[in-house]
Amino acid sequence: MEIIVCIKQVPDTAAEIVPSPDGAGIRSEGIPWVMNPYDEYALEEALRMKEAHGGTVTAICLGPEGAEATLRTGAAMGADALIHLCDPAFEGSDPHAAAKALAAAIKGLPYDVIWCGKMAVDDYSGYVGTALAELLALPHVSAVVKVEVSDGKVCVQRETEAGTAHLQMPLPVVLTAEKGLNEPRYPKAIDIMKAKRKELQTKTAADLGLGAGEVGAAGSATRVTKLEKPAERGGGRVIEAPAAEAVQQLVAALQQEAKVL
Amino acid sequence: MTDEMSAAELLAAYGVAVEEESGDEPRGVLVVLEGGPEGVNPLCWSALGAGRDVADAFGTRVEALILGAGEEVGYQAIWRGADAVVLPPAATSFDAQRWAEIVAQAAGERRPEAILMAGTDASREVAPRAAQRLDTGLVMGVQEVRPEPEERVVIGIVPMYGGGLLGEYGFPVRRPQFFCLAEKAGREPSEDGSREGETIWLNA
Repeated sequence: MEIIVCIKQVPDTAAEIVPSPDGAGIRSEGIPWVMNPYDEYALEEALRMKEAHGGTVTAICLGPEGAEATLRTGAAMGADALIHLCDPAFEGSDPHAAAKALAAAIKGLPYDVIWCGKMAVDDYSGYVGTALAELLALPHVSAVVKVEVSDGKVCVQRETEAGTAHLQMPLPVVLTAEKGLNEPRYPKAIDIMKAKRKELQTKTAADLGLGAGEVGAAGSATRVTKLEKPAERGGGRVIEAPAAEAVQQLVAALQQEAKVL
Repeated sequence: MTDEMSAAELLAAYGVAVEEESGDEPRGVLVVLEGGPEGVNPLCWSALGAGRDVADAFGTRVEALILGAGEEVGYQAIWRGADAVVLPPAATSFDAQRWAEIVAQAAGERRPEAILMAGTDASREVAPRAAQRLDTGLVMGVQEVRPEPEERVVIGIVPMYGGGLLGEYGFPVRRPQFFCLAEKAGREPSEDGSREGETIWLNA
């Protein structure tokens, strides 16, 4: 079974993120970077599929030079092949352009299952996995919480507003991983050492046959125009009045001020 | 009043504001509503409320594309603020690829400047596919949309980095501007049973 996992390097969720002086990005100095947590679930499930059915797991990451470290983490977890889409032409890619680049890289590879995280924890967008499915003309299921493969088919479960949905479809397929799909493994020290020497392919936009206007800022449809800290919430308010009157005041406040009723 | 006055000038003389349209530029707001046996998914109403507010700011109209149900639920959209309902030739139950195809078709035929969808399970499956078909991009998880009428742009405000920052997203060039809204991102529109609107069928 040939499995591809798209992984993204994101700031550690515990890090304090500060907007850059131009207000359209973040200050990247001193931030610890990690694999997007949802992508860890995706990679873990891909490794479990390989362990159950054989085959290879290829990890692909679009990002700057520093993103190589995230690919190496993927290798330490067990990925067999590493592809780094790294080129100044990719800089400023929004999810729309990133999906195009990833699709172009995947088109030349064999695959039965393509895994992505449900979303990235930096931009909170859940666009790439589904867009990849569209670009590759594949079926997909988002936010998968359970998966089984047998006889060339995949049976998946996802949680929906209406409850748990059970779906079955033929391979190949794109799946995106929900939190709780599994417990990602911690790489062993020896595997971390081996991963440092693992062969890594680097591909540029030209290698993928992509023109300058198709990826990066030029190929992006959306742009962050401003990034700022949300306004701090005001303190709570205690309504001091007899119970019946306090309830009336509370309802009025919820209707007229908070506008939640 | 003279014979040389255009219809727009005539209406303006009577104090009726008329939007100058070249016919080439995308205009209007398309809100995608998910229908079913029990009517429109209630999570979609706040997207219609947001769409109505954007359209009012732009001086244009709102069309509601109904997926998964037919004409029988159209009145709900009209009563809650749509100027027209847009229907595919045949209602289809949820199928991400088919629904994305319908959204793209509707965008191609109606040429809206903005598309809004509620952040439902279905729309998270459909909207990225439709955005790829339209080659327009998409902003997801939007907790507020802010119209900027002078530029005719819509800004989508999205929590980022664990909610530690708010990002303002815009579409500098491409149209339609496509947003998938978080729950309660727009106001819940109240019903007005006296509102009327038209029904538009997409090409078969």
